Amino acid sequence: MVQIGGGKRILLLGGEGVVIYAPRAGGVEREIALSWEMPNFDEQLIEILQNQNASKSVLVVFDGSDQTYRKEESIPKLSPIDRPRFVRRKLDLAFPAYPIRASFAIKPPKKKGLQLSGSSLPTSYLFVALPETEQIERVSRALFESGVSVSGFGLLPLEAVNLVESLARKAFAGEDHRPARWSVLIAQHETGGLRQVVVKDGALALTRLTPAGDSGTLGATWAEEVTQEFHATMKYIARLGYQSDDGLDVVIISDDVSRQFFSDSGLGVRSFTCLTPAKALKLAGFSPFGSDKDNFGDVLHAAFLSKQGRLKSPIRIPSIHSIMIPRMMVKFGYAVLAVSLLGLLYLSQGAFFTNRTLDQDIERQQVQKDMLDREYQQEAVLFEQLPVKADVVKGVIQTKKILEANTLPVEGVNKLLLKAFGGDVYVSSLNYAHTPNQALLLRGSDPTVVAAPVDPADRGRIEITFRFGLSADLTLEQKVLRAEKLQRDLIAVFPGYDIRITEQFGRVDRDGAFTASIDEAVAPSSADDLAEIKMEGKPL
Amino acid sequence: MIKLIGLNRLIILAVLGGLNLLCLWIYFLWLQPGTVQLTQQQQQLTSTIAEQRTKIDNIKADIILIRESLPEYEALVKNGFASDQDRFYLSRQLDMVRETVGIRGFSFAVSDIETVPFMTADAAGKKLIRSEVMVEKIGTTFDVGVFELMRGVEQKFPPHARIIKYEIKKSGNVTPDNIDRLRNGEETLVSSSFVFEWMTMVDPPKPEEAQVPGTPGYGGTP
Repeated sequence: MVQIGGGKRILLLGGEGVVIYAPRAGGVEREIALSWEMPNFDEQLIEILQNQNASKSVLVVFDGSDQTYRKEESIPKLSPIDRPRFVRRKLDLAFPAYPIRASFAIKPPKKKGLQLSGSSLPTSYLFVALPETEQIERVSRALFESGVSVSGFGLLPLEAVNLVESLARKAFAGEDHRPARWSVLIAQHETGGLRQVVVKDGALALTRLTPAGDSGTLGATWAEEVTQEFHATMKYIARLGYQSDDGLDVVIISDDVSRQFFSDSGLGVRSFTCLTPAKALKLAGFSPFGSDKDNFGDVLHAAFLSKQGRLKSPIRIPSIHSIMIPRMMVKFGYAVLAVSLLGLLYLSQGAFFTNRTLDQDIERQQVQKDMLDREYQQEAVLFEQLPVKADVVKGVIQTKKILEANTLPVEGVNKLLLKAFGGDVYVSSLNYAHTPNQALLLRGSDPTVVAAPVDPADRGRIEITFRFGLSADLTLEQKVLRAEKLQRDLIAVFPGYDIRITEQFGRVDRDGAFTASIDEAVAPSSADDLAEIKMEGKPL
Repeated sequence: MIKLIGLNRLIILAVLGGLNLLCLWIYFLWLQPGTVQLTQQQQQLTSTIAEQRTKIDNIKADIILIRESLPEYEALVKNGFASDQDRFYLSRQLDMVRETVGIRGFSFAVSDIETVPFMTADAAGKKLIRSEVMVEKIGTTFDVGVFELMRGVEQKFPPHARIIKYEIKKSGNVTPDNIDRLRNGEETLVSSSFVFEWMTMVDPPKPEEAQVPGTPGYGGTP
């Protein structure tokens, strides 16, 4: 029941009976032909449908005489929403007595060159109708009973349009032949009758099915009948507007013997060819089937439709549709479940291999971990044997270094001071104070006080205050000038320091109140007169 | 319905559905939880390995550090940086400095021991303690002696000593009247004092010892 590979079984249904074709490489093979008159027709049809080709779905193609066509050209310009309703109404009115109706848009023929105007909507429709015959019902029952898949129901003349065009094009290719607007395929069908399909500009123009005469379907008499029927067809197509300038390609499917009885003078056309079914199949691109003594054209349609796989103009037959849809849904279900299964298998195999890789990784890492554990144990033994803990050593040395960084040797500061003083300054008193890094400031002996992190750049602050004197031989102004110079020298030696003269000689202020006496003799200042300088800044 | 669809089709559908369910079960109830569990296990192992590596690196680094720093640490301990601040020991050390510097004498006063909260000391499991020692009445005629004494404290006193304050004041001049007294050391030309901090790292007291008050202040003349 699961169809694998392309190709469909074709069930041709005609007035005489049914013929079933099964797909094979490059074409089709005839499975059986059953006549309606057979006493056990239904059982045989079911049996055949259930044979080894049962996995292929069946395409039912109707080739009976009950089908009715009408071309409807008076469709007004309507919106895409209104148009289908209008067409539907027209169809119902056209064939009120037929239960099976369908309409197909006829695409206008493609014209060469640029088309500047025109809607994409079709301007004419082909209306089709057929009665629900007992024959269709019998085939439906057989399809139901056999359990085979059904691909659809189509009408042979409608489905044959492309075949007729293609065959005519290939049959008359390479003969300096002007492409004709009209093509005709004439073939005797095993399902009953002589089928003529006339195509104009890629659309079905006319189809005729005439029952086979009493004289058989081969030989001169048959050829005579075909010629007569073709002449009748010519009259019909003349009414449809055929003119000899349009060109007409005629392809007749005939056996090798009968073909000699056809002539262009007899047919009244110059562009005609007779092909055996095998040659026609070959020309259409299929494997030849049958013998040159056979003239049935059904096989050509079957091969064409089997390869095509889908109907160009499917017809909805309720009895067949009710079988087709559930079985198609099951097929769709197969596809969904198969895709889902494939997806899950893909995911599962991915996960399986991921797990396997993870397993291997874990195994490798476990070995690695065991090695590291052993190494750690060995190192831990060595560590335990050390006399002191690393934290203690680190902490003690680090603390000592921080303390050293915050300790200023007195000698270093004194050397800088002496450098600035020079030889004429004598220091009367010197006060020095170093406030250390914030972290070293005592916060009391409370053990719960949290220690602050140490900033290595912070070494606290220095405050130096000194009183100094100068030689008594100097005048007050000279002393003041010297004190100011000393301030400048100190600023140079202690960059960044705040250095202020907190007390000037004689307590004078250059901008403040000043008292003095003017005399010829220059009075020296007192040797006890002292000045004071205060310095503040970060340790250098 | 069964006839319409066909028993074979139903069987195939059921088989396909069953296979789907089986795969779903295998994937969602076995493979995927397994992946999650194995991934977690692997991540845990990776983390444990990284942790173990870090521990090994740290322990190795510590061993190297201890081996390299041990002489420095032992020298500090030997010089008294890890000693408690016993007042008699302080007195002996100051006397040793005095002798080294060669001055007549001085008096000193030492404050109570205090704890300085200090992060690196805490990390070592120790505590940093501090005493403030004030040195005055320094027996030297000139200021040079004072500076020598301060340098002696900085260099010879057990680590860690840190001068935080000093004061020197000229108190007189050399005159014929006082030259003999100066020579005999009965008089000086400067009055001076300085304060230094004595800091050592000691083990923190055990809980019962923590209640005992620290070593009180002390004064003396070396």
